[in-house]
Amino acid sequence: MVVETAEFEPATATRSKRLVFSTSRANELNDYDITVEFLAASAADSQAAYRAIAELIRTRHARLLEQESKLVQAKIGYYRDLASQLQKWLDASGQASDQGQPSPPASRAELLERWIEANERLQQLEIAAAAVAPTLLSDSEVYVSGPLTTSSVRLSALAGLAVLVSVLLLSIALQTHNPTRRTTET
Amino acid sequence: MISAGEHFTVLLCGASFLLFLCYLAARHPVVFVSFFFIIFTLAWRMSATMFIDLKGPVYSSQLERTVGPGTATVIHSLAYFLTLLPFLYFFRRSVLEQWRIDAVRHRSVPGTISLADVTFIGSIVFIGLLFFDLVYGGSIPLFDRIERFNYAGGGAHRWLFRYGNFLTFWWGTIFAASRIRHGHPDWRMLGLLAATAAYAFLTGNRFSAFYSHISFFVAPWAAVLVLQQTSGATTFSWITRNFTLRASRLAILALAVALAGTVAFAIYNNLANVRGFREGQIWRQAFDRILIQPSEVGWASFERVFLAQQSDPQFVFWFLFQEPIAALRNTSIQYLMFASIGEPRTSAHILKGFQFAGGFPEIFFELFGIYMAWPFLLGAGCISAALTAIMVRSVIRGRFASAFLSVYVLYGFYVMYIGGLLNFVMPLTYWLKIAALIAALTAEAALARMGLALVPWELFRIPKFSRQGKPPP
Repeated sequence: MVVETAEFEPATATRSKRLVFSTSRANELNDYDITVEFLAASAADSQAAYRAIAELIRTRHARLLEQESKLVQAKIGYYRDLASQLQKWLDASGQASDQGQPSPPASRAELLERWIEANERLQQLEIAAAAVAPTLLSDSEVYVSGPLTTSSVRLSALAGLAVLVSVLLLSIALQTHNPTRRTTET
Repeated sequence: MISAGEHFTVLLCGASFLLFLCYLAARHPVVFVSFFFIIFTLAWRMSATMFIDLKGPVYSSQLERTVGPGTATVIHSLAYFLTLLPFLYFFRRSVLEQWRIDAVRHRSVPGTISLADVTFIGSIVFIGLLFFDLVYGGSIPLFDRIERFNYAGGGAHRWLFRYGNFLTFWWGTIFAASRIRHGHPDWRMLGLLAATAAYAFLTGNRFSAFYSHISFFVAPWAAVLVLQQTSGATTFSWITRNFTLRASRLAILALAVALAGTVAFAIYNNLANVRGFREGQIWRQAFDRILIQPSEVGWASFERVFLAQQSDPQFVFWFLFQEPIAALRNTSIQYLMFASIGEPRTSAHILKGFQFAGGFPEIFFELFGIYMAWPFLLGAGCISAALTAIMVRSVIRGRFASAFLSVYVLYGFYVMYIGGLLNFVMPLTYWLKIAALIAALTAEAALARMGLALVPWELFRIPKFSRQGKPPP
């Protein structure tokens, strides 16, 4: 999905598609934050892949956010209605005792307790609804390292080869100039 | 894709290393046999790295990504050369000549209980316990389709799979020492090894147990090869010399075929009947295990450190030695897994006791960087070669405590070459092992000057009882 939607540079697109597909991995840092790591053929392609990933996350989160908002709004509506009904019953229970009208389905103390609970829950849901915000993915949190290079392979291999040749020469020199020492131990 | 030049370089480097191993087998059998446990691993891993480099991109089911193509073979082959090169110095011809002079060849006095006899009796009791536990326990993993690591077994079983390599090394030492002293090996030891192999087969082991037990058993035979190798030795003459009769050649060939068949059946049984793979999946699993998994972590590390230049030695040091996931296990592979598959998969695997293959030489480049790793690789090779030389020389001289303790110390390096382990130097017990080796070397040298041995071959004389009135002759 990412490699299909990312706008890679034409010259490096094939290589970047393969690299991003092969190397993408996510690390879960904590309950809220993740890091996404991948390789691409150039810094511009890395940014393009990042933007594609960010867009993908934004789209999916927006859909989730919409569903979540609908759910929260439905709950707010329910608790608002409940609180309103309880309020009416509370008022009615006060009047019933004074005027001899039919009493509500529960005692006044119980109605009061449930009215407080419903209001508290309503308040929590309204705060939660106000706090819900779309996922933010900022370009400033992108760290590009590289570029990919084969020069370090060559340089390191040369260093290794130098060590290898030095050891060979040293061994030959030691064997040539240092005749076997015979120990006296038996 | 890699260029034609890179393709050629990969082939050249990989083939050079494999040819070098053939050269060791042909012209330096002492090195080849004494260090076979690691040489086999290096050859296998080299082949897997070449496959990934040349045939990549290939999909790795464990990393959940593709690996290759590339030029990791170039770096890995140089690292392997640097590991083995010190052996040519520590086992040079002049040194072997000196060891031949030092060999203990005197025969046992008849009517004595020898170290071999005591070893055999003790081992028979142990193997009896092993099989008793297996039968008494009621379930045999091979027949009951139990995974080898799910089979708890008894105390003897757990001891065998913790210290089995040292046990088979000791049997191999007695096997070789008997050949040096009496001119023929102690075949009882080979019987013990065969019994252990049968037990490993019954308990659902596939390849590793056979490979490690046999490698540790044959390592002391290098001492016999030292005594057989003369200046005029021809290529592969150590094989023809040890198997002069046609019958013995046929016997060893039959043994090799039987062993290969057993291992092949064990692997098939495990994949088909225990893990429940079917047809194409079995082949795919075996293929992955043989040609991708040994080097997939190494290749991912190569890509990270060499191609993407994302090495962070300080963080690697902190992870390996200060804050690993499980400090009492191999922390190198924990880091390499973390860097390759991330969290929470790494912790989930490690805490379940599962780890990926590989670790060497990539952990050296992760920890020391792409230039400074080379001297450390050479240093590790020198220490391994020196300890192997001590082991072989000690078997020749009949200094069994030194031989055993040298392998005990060398074992840390073995695990480093197999799985990249570097934190083996951290526990105090490792330094106590080194101190014990130094003490054994000193004590055995001092006792040898007095004609004594710390672990003597002849332990005690069997008392002779004669008929009354007739004195013993």
